[in-house]
Amino acid sequence: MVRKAVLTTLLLLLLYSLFIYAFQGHIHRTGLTVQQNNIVKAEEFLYENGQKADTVVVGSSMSNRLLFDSLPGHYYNLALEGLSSADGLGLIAQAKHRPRLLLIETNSMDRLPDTAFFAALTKPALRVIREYLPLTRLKYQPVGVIKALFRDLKTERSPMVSTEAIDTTFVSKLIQARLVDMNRIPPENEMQAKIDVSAAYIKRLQESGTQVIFFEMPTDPRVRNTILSGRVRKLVGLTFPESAYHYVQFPSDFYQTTDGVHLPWGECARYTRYLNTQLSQSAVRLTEVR
Amino acid sequence: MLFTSFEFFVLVVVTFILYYLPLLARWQVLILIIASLVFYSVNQANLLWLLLLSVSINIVSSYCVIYGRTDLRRFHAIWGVVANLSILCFFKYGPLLSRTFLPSESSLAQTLVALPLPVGISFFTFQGISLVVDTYRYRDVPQFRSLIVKNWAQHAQNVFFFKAFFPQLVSGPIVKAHFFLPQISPKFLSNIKWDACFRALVVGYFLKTVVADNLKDYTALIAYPYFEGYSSLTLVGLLFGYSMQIFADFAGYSLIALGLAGLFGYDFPINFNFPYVAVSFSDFWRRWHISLSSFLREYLYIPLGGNRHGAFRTYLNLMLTMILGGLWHGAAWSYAVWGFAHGLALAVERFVDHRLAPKPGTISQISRGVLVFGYVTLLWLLFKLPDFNHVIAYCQALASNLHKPHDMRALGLIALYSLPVIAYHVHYVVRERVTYYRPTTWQFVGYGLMLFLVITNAGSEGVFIYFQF
Repeated sequence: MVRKAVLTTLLLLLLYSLFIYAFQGHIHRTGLTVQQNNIVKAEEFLYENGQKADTVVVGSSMSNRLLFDSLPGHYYNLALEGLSSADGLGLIAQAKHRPRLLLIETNSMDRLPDTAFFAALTKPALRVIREYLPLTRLKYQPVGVIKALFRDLKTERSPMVSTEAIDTTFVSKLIQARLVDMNRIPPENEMQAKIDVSAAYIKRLQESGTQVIFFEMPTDPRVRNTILSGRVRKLVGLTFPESAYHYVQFPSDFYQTTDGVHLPWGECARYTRYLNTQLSQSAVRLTEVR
Repeated sequence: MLFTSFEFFVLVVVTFILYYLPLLARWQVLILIIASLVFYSVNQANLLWLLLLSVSINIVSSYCVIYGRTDLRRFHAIWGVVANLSILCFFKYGPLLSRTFLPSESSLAQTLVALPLPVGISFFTFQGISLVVDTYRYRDVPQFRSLIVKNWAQHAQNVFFFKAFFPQLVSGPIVKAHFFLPQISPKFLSNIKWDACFRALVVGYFLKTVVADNLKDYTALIAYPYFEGYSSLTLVGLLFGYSMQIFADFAGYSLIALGLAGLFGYDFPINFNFPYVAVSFSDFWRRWHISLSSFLREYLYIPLGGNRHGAFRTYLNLMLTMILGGLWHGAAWSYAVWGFAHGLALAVERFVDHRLAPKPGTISQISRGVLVFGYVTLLWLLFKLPDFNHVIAYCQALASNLHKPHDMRALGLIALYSLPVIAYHVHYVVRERVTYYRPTTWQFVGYGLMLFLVITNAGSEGVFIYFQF
């Protein structure tokens, strides 16, 4: 029985490898959960189309929905849900390819990289296996692939959801819960130490020719005006002074959120347009870095 | 070090090779002890001393019970049990007791709250108690007496191995001394039951990595206050998913432990026997975490008097056993409430069965099965949300969010990943009830498919739920 079962497994692995080889170009967005979306995104960045990107965005779930369709060159959004800019920066530092332009979300810069996430993607033995055996990547998990193929068959390719119902009472409750957390402010030196981790990555990337632009994602004013948010802004500003780094000006308009910090699709599209305009007016011309 | 990690795979392969090398055959037990220490050190090197202390207590007390002065045997057994329990209470319940009874600003309270929870302490402590009690209980039974060898070093090695054997060290099954010690003997590669080990490992890894680790990403939505945004149906689905997850996680772990022990020539008792087909609460506890429930029955419920002192004492003993069993799971009052609720269910069931003697029948069995499953599943909420107020909030949301839109995506995926657990139980029911059922010769396809999914469709690496206990 053992031998027959193992042979069956090998046969299935072979057939599935052939399937992936044949349909690789048609398999997109296979992640089924937040964690899976992050890993799929990171795997695509490390092994697939991310390695061709001229412009890369790093950040948290706040920047996850940014879509720069109109930007010149090849763009890759490496913003990770539940994680931070530091995680994206760490992955770029591990990759063979360096982007020409890096857009860094500042909101989450007070967080350290998630070591478990990082280890899951960069363990040497597993990384080699995943590079040469695509079926071992999370992106090609059968359940996710089948679901993605069905979804694409139903031509639901666009992730945009134009009408996202927002329950304002529930949103207020979420914001209140968030404010309680945000009132627990860690000592400034601890926060600075975390920002320094990102700073070290940024320095290395700049040395290899990557240009950097910082931007702050809009949040609910109650969240933006907390002491914690203010302190993050202050420390980021001290570490990366405006005299030496490029910043996207914070928008003066009000942006609706779903929970105090995340923009719904429509608002995200609006902010993307704003960001695009700001970038095109900034001293850093994308054409210059191409 | 998780059973699902690459490091663990390397540890098992290296240990297996060394273990069966003819040249090292004399040191088989020692090899397993060293592997177990490596395994524990990777998890919590800073608390290795505690495991060594716990082992030492059991080496000394069990030896003294058999070979010490006859009039002091009882004393040695008592201090052995008390020392075991003291370690458990101090490290596991110190923080809870300090939060409950001490002012939070006192230095003692702060010290107690900051105590780390040693991995597997509940499991290895219970095994230690089993050793001391069994030694005292069977001190005059020659077969058991011979298991506590006179040679001090040999005895120490056996006890160390019994308590620290890595497949069961951190999450059970709780192996009793009278079950395990007789198995310590030279092992040979030719004696391995490959078929049984393969089945246990494949099903175990499948349940853990494919079912539990994928379900955990959806059941993570059971977090305050986020669950309040979901519809009642979604909340029911999430709870159902958590019920499937906790089974797949722990039953998967137990099967892996069983398979691994089998590779080294040791048998562990079955820890799960299709618990979700139980048609009564007592039936459930004969099927769920069998090694714990049998431990509680053997070392707590029966010594308390069991059902030998009238109805009231029986109900009281049931409640006490279940409350303590609840607290064994975690140092929070919600676990005591969980135990109380199970004790209450057992007591009520016993009362109803004795007074009303309901007639057995298919419909009655099915409705009782649904009731037991529903109640057990609802109570898992106390495991997922240790803050009792959040449990209440979840129940309120369950009752009031009828008109919110359903998260069909999450519900569909929970149903998909729960399907193997349901199929696993249905397969058991069919096998037990249908006389013409025969195991097919195509079983290897099922095992081959499960192994394929373990390789290609495992969820993100997640700590076993029972690690925290």
